[in-house]
Amino acid sequence: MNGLHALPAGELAAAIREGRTTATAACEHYLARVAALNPAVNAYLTVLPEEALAAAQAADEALARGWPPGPLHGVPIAVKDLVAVRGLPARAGSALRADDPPATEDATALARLRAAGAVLLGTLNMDEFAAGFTTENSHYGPCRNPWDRQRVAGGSSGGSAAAVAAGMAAATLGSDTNGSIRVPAALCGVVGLKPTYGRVSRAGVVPFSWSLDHIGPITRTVADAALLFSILAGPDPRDPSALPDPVADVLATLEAGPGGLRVGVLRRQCVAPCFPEVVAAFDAAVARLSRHLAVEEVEAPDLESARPASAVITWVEGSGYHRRDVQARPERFDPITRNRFRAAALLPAAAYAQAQRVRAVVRQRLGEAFRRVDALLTPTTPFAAPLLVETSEVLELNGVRGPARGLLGFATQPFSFAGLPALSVPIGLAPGGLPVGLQVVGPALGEATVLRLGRCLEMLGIGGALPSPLL
Amino acid sequence: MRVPEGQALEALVRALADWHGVACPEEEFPQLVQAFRALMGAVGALDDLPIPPEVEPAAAYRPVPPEARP
Repeated sequence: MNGLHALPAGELAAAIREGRTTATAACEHYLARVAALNPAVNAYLTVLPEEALAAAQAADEALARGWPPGPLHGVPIAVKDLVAVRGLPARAGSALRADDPPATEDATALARLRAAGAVLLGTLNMDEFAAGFTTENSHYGPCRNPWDRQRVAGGSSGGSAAAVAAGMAAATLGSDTNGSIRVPAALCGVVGLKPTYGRVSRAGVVPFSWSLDHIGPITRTVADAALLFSILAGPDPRDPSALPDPVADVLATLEAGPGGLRVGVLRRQCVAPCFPEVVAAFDAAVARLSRHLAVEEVEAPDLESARPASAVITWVEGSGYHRRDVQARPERFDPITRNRFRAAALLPAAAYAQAQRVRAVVRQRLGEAFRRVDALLTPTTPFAAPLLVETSEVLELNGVRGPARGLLGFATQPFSFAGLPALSVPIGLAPGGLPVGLQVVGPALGEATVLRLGRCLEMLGIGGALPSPLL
Repeated sequence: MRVPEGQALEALVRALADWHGVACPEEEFPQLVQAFRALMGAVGALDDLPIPPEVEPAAAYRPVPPEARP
């Protein structure tokens, strides 16, 4: 079969199950694409060709023996470099941990994907220790955007998004502390899901900020995001933050359509501050959506406090995790990261407590908004992918002033702060030919609604993954 | 929370960094001061919020409060 890389993960699994292709053929096809494209994109930090081919051959042999295939049987995937892979050091895009002993077991999220039949191709580029929105990795080089290799792929899961956008993996895992799944998904024109905090186990994942880290899939379609979520989600005794609640059957409601849904637009707080080309794409998508469901403008009081509070929590927790290394081996960190960790170590403890109190307030305010609507809509990023040389340019959005690289998380940060499920779906290209993403945010444990709405965007022709020039 | 400026800020950062064992080489010190000022800006933005006294930080660690469960 030609064009295997253009098939969504679920469809590729079906093709393998039905004998239209094999896991080995899919693996060889993807490995050839990685060999050809990765030097230009730098999405992969580690490629595991021998292990991947052995796993693919084992998958084919199991199928031939009548072994019941899993939902991802034979599907080539890859994971962000902070996900523990048995036999590799979990270096999290750092030089500091490159010489660590190899992990003795897979992270729970990877183990669940492998149990579903997925074949691991390798690990993916990221900002060092997930501390950034651009994947400008000073140790291993920047990840480049498949739409324009002079531009950032977004971050910190930049490799995860770029690999899917360039057809170098059928699906990937990313992590999201302030927007690190949704931002790169939007900039690379693919789908990214950040589940409810605690819904997907973080066991075996190098932390950035314990109380803000989420694990989730980056895929080509919303159906693939739902499929991977259904495999990944659930309780895990290895992760104390993992939720005990039963997992909603997101696949059962995925095709339910827009009927009866009410959505809110956070216009003043999250839409108006964005660049005009992003606002235009967002408004056009919402106008089309409003023909099929009820749309109203909403406000979430105190939402503006989410960004500074999230910054305080993120850097204080990250600083706490890396404290010994910042003291003993600071030269092994990226200079920007180490000085932020140092600075966070100097903050008054009361500031951290205050930031967590703000978090409780913001969560309550958003909960009030969800009494009126089923989901909230915003642009995912305030502007499309900046040039690599532009990321330090100082911009101002709604009174928030800072380098472009930090402002990429302007619209995503409040919702990871609140721990709510959020999905980014591409809604077209800005005039410069760069993808724009729309973010769908749901109430806690509302993944079924978020994915259903994302699928509506695809079904109605309003959104969906865009074929990058490299696909 | 009042953050000093100029030399007073630099002296504060130097003293705190020494105290916490994260002092940096002199050539990186301006970056540390800049990072500290940025984070204190975030801290300052939270100072004046009228948060009711009964709001506990611990609530933030309950990712899905019982009342939010569908």
